[in-house]
Amino acid sequence: MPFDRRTGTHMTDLQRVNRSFDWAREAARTTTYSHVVVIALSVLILGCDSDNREVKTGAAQAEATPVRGYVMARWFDEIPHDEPGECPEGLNVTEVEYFSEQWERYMVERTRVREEEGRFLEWDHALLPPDACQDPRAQPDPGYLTLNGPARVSGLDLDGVASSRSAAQAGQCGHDDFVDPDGRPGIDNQAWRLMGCVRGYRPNDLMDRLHKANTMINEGGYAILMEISGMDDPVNDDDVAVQFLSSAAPVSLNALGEPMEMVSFTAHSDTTYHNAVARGRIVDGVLTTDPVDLRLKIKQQTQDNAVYYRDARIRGTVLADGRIEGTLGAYWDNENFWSMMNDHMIGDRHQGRNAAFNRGFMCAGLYHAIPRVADGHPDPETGECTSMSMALHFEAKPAFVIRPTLASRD
Amino acid sequence: MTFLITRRRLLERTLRGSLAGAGISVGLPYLDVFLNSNGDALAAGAPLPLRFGTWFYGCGMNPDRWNPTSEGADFALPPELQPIEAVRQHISVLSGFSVILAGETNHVHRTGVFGTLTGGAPKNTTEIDGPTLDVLIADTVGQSTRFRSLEMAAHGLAKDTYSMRSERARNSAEPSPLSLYQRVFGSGFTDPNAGEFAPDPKTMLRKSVLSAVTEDRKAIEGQLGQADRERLDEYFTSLRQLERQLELQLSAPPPLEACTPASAPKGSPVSQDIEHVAENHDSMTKVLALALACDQSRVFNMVFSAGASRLHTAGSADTHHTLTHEEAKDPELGYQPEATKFVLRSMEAWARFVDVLASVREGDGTLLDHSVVLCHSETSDANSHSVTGLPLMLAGTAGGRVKNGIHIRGAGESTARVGLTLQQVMGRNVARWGYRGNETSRPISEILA
Amino acid sequence: MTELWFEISENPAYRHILLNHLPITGLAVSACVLAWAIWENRWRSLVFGLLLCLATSASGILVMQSGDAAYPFLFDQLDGAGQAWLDDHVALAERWGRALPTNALLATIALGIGARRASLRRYASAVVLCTTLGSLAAASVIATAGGQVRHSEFRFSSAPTGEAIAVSSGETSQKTHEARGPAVMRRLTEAQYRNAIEDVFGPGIELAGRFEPENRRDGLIALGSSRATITSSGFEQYERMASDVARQALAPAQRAKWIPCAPLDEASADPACAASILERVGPMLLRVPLSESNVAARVEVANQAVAELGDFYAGIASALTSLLVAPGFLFRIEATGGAWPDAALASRLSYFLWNAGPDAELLEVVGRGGLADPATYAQQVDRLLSSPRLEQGVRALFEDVFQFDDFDDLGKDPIRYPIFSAKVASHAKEQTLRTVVDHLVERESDYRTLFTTRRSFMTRALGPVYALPVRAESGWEEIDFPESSGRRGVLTHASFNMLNAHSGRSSATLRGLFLREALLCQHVPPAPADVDFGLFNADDSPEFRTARDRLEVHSSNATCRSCHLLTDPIGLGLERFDGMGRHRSTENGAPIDASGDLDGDRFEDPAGLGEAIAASDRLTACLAKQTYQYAIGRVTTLGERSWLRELEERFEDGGYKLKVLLREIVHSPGFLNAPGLARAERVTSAPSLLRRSAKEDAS
Repeated sequence: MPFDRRTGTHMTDLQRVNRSFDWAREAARTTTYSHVVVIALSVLILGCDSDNREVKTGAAQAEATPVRGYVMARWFDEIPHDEPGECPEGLNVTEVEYFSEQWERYMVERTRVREEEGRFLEWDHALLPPDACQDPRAQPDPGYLTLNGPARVSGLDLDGVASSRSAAQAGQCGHDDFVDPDGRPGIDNQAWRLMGCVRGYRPNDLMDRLHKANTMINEGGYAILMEISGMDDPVNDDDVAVQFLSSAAPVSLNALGEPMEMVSFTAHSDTTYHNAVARGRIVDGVLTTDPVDLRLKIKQQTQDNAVYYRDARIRGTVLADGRIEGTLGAYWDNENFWSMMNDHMIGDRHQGRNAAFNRGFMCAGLYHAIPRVADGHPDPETGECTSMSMALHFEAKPAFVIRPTLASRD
Repeated sequence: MTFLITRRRLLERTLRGSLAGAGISVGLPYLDVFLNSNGDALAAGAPLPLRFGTWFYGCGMNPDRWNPTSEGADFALPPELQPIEAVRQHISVLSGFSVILAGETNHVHRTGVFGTLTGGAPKNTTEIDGPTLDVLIADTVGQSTRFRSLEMAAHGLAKDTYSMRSERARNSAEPSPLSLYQRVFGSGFTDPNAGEFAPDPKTMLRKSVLSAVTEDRKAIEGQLGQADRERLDEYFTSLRQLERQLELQLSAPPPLEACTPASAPKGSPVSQDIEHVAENHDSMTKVLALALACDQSRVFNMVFSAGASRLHTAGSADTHHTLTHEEAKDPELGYQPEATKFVLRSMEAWARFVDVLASVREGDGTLLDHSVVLCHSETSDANSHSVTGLPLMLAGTAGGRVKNGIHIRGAGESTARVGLTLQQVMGRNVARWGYRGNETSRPISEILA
Repeated sequence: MTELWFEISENPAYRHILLNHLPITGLAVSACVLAWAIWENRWRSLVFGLLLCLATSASGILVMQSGDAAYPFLFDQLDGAGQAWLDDHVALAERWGRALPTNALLATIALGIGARRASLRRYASAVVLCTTLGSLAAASVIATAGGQVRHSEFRFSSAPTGEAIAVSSGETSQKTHEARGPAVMRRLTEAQYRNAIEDVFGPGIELAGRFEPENRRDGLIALGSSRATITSSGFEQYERMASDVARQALAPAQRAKWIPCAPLDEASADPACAASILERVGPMLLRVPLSESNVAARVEVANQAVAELGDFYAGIASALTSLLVAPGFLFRIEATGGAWPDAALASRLSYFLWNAGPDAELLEVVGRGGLADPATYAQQVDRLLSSPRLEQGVRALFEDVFQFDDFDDLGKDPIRYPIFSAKVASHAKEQTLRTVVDHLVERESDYRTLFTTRRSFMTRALGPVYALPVRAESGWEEIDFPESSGRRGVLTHASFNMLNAHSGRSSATLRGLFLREALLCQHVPPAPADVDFGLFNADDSPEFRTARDRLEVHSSNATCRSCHLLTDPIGLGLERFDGMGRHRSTENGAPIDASGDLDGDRFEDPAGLGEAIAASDRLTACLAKQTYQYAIGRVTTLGERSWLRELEERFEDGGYKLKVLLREIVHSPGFLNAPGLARAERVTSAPSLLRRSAKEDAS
C-alpha cells in the first residue's frame, strides 16, 4: 500500500470498499483527460473589480511620476508545514470512495465501452449519482473535514483583530486566526482552513509540486503585471501607487525555463483587468498597500476564467536586485472560489468531477463547507459572509508595462 | 635587355594564374550531414537501406535523476539511465529539449508527444497539425518498400499510437507479435532475395538530366584559367559520383543476408501488466528486426506504453500514470519510488530494443548501424505534465551519419531541432522545420558525425 | 637531402632565397677584390676582380627570374602586409634591378678596354668599382623589402603604401592600363541562389536543402566564393533542390507566373514550346544565351521524360532541373558567352548591386550589345542604383563585411546567458542590418556616422537584451537609444558584441581583432600555439576582476605584447557590453574602465570608441577596399592598389556616401576591364565624368 495518505482515513479498515475504490479510481484515470484539472487549482488566487474611473486616475498617476513595471515570476498559495495533528480526523475522501458500489458498476461499463466502442462514457452517466460539481444541491451534504488542528499558516492579518470562533462579535463571521511561521499572530486564511486537509494539498502532493514547478506561470496560465508609480526611494517612500493588471501575452521564459526580466508586456485590451490603483508605502524596504479589489485573467489548460479577490493588499520586500518578494492577502469571493474550483471544461465536457477526484474531495462536501468557513463581507440582509480570507506568496521581477491603445477609450 | 620584357609577361601571367583562384581544397563542408553518404554506399558496393524509427514510452522520468550532469562522450550515467549501461555505446542522450508552448495550452499527455513528432504544440486535442516526423521521413525513404511504415503497440492497444498524416489519418498499430508477424510475413510476402528487380524509370530520368549537363562542359572549359578549370573538374567529379549512385540504383540490389524468415511467435492476450508488456515488446522487436532485415519497411514506430501509461504491476490497482499523480514523494529518496520503478522498466525495454537491432549483422555492420531510432516520451516530470526538458535519445548511427555514446544538453531549445536533424540525416530535403515558436533551421550539428 | 634538393629545384621561392645572397655578398666581396687589385695594379688581379664583378652581377639575373617564378606561389600564402611588401619588393626590383646587368656589361667592357690599352686598365676598373658599389646598394635596397615579405619581425615601418609601385608603373595612362586583373569564377551563394529562383519563377517556391558552406578568404566570403568548388555531397543537395524547385515551378498556379507558352497537348511532347521555354529561362539562369546544342540537349531530356511519364510539364521539369544543376548556373563564370560579349560584365554589375542576376531589361541591353556604349552603361548603372533592389545588394555586402554569417552557428552558455536564444540572435543581426540599410540607402547618410548614430530598430525579443521598453507587440519599431542606455553607433549594438565574444564571457581581444581586420583592414598575426591562457581566461580569479586586469598580462608578456597592443586597447572600449551585448558598468563588482585610444585618438567609453573609429581615415579606406574586392571577387592586383587610393579620394569627395562608392567602383577600370569580360579595351570613363557624378551624389 504505497499511499501514506490512506492511513487514518476512516475507510482503511473496510477491505472491500478499499479494493473497489482503488480499482475504480484506477479505471477512472484511464482517460488521458482526467488529469488536466489538477493544475487548475493552483490558480485559485486573486480577483478584482472593473472600475473605469479608477483606471483613468491610475493612468494619470502613472504618467505623472516615475513608473516601475513588474511581472509576477512566482505566484502560489499556502502549502502546509505538515505539523503532526494538523488533520486529526484525517483527509477528505472522494466520491469514488463514498459511492463505491455505483462507481464499481460504472467503471465496468466505462471500460467495456472504451475498449469495445472506443468512446468515453460521460461523467454524468445514469449509473452514477448526480454530478454535484455541476449542481452542488444534487447531493446531500456528505460532510467535510477542515483544518482545525494547531497549524502555523502564513498570511496577513486582514481584519486587524485577534478573532476567535468562540468570541465572534455581531456582524462578524466567527473564525480562528492562525499564527504565521514568522511568529505574527492574527493571520486570517480561511481558504487554507478549507483546503488544508485535502490530499492534493498536502506536502509533496499535487499542488505543492505544481507550485515548485511554477507550472501555471511558465505555461502561460496567467501573466500578472504590477506597476508602481512614484517610487522615488526603494527603501523609504511614504507614498507610492500600486496597480495590478493582466497581460494578454504569456511570460517569456529564458533558456533555463525561468520567467525573463525586462520584457515588455502590453496590458490586456479588456480594461476590466486593469485594476484600481492602491495607495502604498515603503518602510525600511518593506512595501505595504491599502486594500483594493482585484480581478485577473486566467486561461490555462481547462480553465478560461477570471479570479476575483476583494480588499487585496500586499506586504513585500523590495530587494537590491530590483525584485519584490512577499505575500498577498485578500478576501476571496465565495462564488468565484466555487467557479474556479469546478468550471473546468474540455470542449463541452464539464470536468469538475475529475478535478475533485484528483485533488481528493467531494464537490457536495466542499460546496456546503464554504459558508461555514467564510469570514469576509457579510451580506447586509442575511449576515452570511460572502468571501473567505486567503493568502499567497509572490515574486515580482522588473519588466515594462505597456498601455494598450484602446479604441474603446474614446 | 630582353629578359626585362619577359619579366613583364611573366609577371602578368603569374599574377593572373595566382589571382584567378588556385586551391581546390577549400569548398569542403565540415559538418555536412551527408559527408559520408557516398563513401558508405560505394564502399558497400550498393547503397544499404537506411531505416528510421521511433520508440515511445509514457510518463517521462524524474529530471534530476534522469538528466546526465556531464556533457559529451563518456558522461556519467545518472540513476534512471543505468539500465542502458550495456548498450550505451549505441545511444546518444539529448536532454533539455522542450516543446515551446508559445501561448498554446499544454494539453496534458498529448502536447508533449505531438510537439516532438510534429514540431509544435497542437492548438487543441482534436486537430493535431500532422504529419508526424515518421510520416515525413517515410515519404522520402519509405516509398520503395512493401510497407511505408510499421506501427507496433507492445501494450496491445492499437489506437494508442502517434504516427499520423493528420488527426484523421492515424496509422493504427499491430497490437501483438503474432499480428505483426502475419502482416509482414503472411500472405503477400516474397523473399526479396528471390524477387525480381525492376529499375525505377524516375531514376533513369535523373541520370539523363545529368548527362545533359555534361554537354555544357566543352563550351565553358575553353574560357577558364588553369585553376578554375581544376575547380570545374571538381564539379564534374561530384556529378559523376551521383551518376554512379544512380547507376547502382538501376542495377539489382545485393542479397539481404540477414533476411532469414523465422516461424510465427505465439499469440498473446492484451494486458497492461508490465511483465507481459515487456515480454510482448521483446518478441515484437525480434519480428521487427527480421522485417527490417528483409527490407519490408524502412520506417517503424514502437509504442512500449501509451502516454498516461496504464502499465501496472500484477495485483496492484495503481498504474504508472496514477502513481505519478497520487504517490507521495518519499521524503528520504526525494522521488516517487513506485512510479519510478516503471521508468526504470521502460529504460530496460529500450535498452533491450537497441540490443536486438544491434545483434543483427548486415553488410559491414549491424542493422542498428544502418538505422537511427528516436526514443521519446510525452512528459519529463509526469506529475506536473511538464513538457520542458523531455527525455530524448537517439540509437544507431544511420550509416555513420550520427554520433552515438554522447550527451548533448538542449538548454530549453525546441525539440523541433531534433526532428529537423533526423529528417536531414534521413536525406529529406528540409532546411527549416517546426511551427509556433518551435521553428528552427539549425540541426543539432554536435550529434552529426 | 634528396627532398631538400627537390624542394630547391622545384620551388622557385627556395631557389630565390638560396640565390639572392649571391649578388649581395658576391658584389661586396668582388668590390673589395677589385679595390685591392686597383691598388696593387697588376693586370692578373684586375682581370680576376672584374670577372668576379661580372659573375656576381650576372647572378642577379637568376635571382630575378626565380623571383618572378616564385611570385604566384608566394602571393596567396601571404597576409595583407606581406603581399604589400612583396609587391614593393617586385616594384623595387623592376626599378633598381637593371643596375646589376648594367654592371655586368660595364665589367665586360672594362675587360675589353683593359686587354687593349694597358694605360686605361686602372681607370676602367675604378669605374666598374663605383658601379659595383652602386649595384650593391641597389641590391640591398631590393633585398630589405624582400626580407620583410615573410618576416613580420623585420617590419619596423608599416606596410608600403605602394607609391613605389605607382612610380614604377609610370604615368596615369599606364596606371589605368595596369589597374585591372583577371576574370573570376564564383560559386553562387545561398542568397544569390534564392534570388535567382524567385526572379525567374516568381515568389512562392520553397527552397528545402542544405547549401555548401561558404568560406571566408582575405576577410570576405565574396573572395572565398572565387575559390570554392562543389563537393559530391554538395552536388547531391543541389540536384535534389533542383528537381524540387522544378516541380514547384511547374505547378499550375506557379507556372502561370512565368511560362511563355502552352503545349498543344499536355500529355505529349511539344519540342517547339519546350525550346521557347528554355530560350526564355536559359539566359536568366545561366546569364548567357543557350547555344543551339545546349537547347537541343535539354529538349531531348524533356522529350525522354514525356515519353516515360506522359506529361509535358514533367518533361519541362526535367529540362529545368538540368539547367539548375548546370555549372553555368551554380557558378558565375566570367567568360564570354560568345553571342553576348558583355554578358559577364552585366552579371558582375547586377550581382554587385543587387546580389542577383541581370533582370530582363539588363539582359535585353546586353543582347543588343548596348553595354559597349559608356552612356548606356552609365544609364543602366543609375537604374540599378536607384532600384529598391539595391537594399538587397547592400545587405549582402554588409553581411559579408561584418562577417554576419557567423550568426548561423552562434551559441551561448545557458547558465551565464539564459536570455540568449536563436531568436534573439537573429533579431540582433537583423537590427544592425536594418540600421545599415536605413542609414546608407534610405537616408543616404555618411558612412562614418553609422558608428555614431543613435537611431536603430527594436523588437520585443531584443527588449530584455537592451533593457528597454518596446511598444510594438510584434514587428520592428524605430527607436533612438536614450542617453542612459550607454549605446550609440552600430558598434554598441548587441550583434557585434555577442558575435565577437566567447560563449561564456566577453572578449576584448576578439572585438579588437574584428575592429582591426574587418573595419580597418589591418592585419593582426595569429596567436602563437604555445600560449597559457589560464591566467586571463579565469574571469572568477579574485585578483583580476575585470577583463582589463586580466589582459594586463598580455602587455606585460613580451610574446603577447606585440599583437595584443593592436587588439586589446580598443577591444576594452567595448567591455561595457557583456558576452551577449547587455550593458554593464561593473564586472565581478569592480567598475569597468572603458577608456583607451585608437592609434593615438583617446576615447572614454563605447560611444567614444565609435567616434574614434568614425574619425579614422582607415575606416573609409577599408570599406572602399573591401567593397572593391567584393565587386571584382579577387584581391587587388599590383596596379589596382594605387588606383584604390584614387577611389578613396573620390569616396571622400562624395561625402562618404555608399552610392558614390558603388558608382565609382562599377566605372573603375578593374571592374570593367577583366580579360574575361570580353571587350578587348573598354573605354574607361574619364576621371572628370566620375568627379561630376560624385559631386552630384554629394549635393
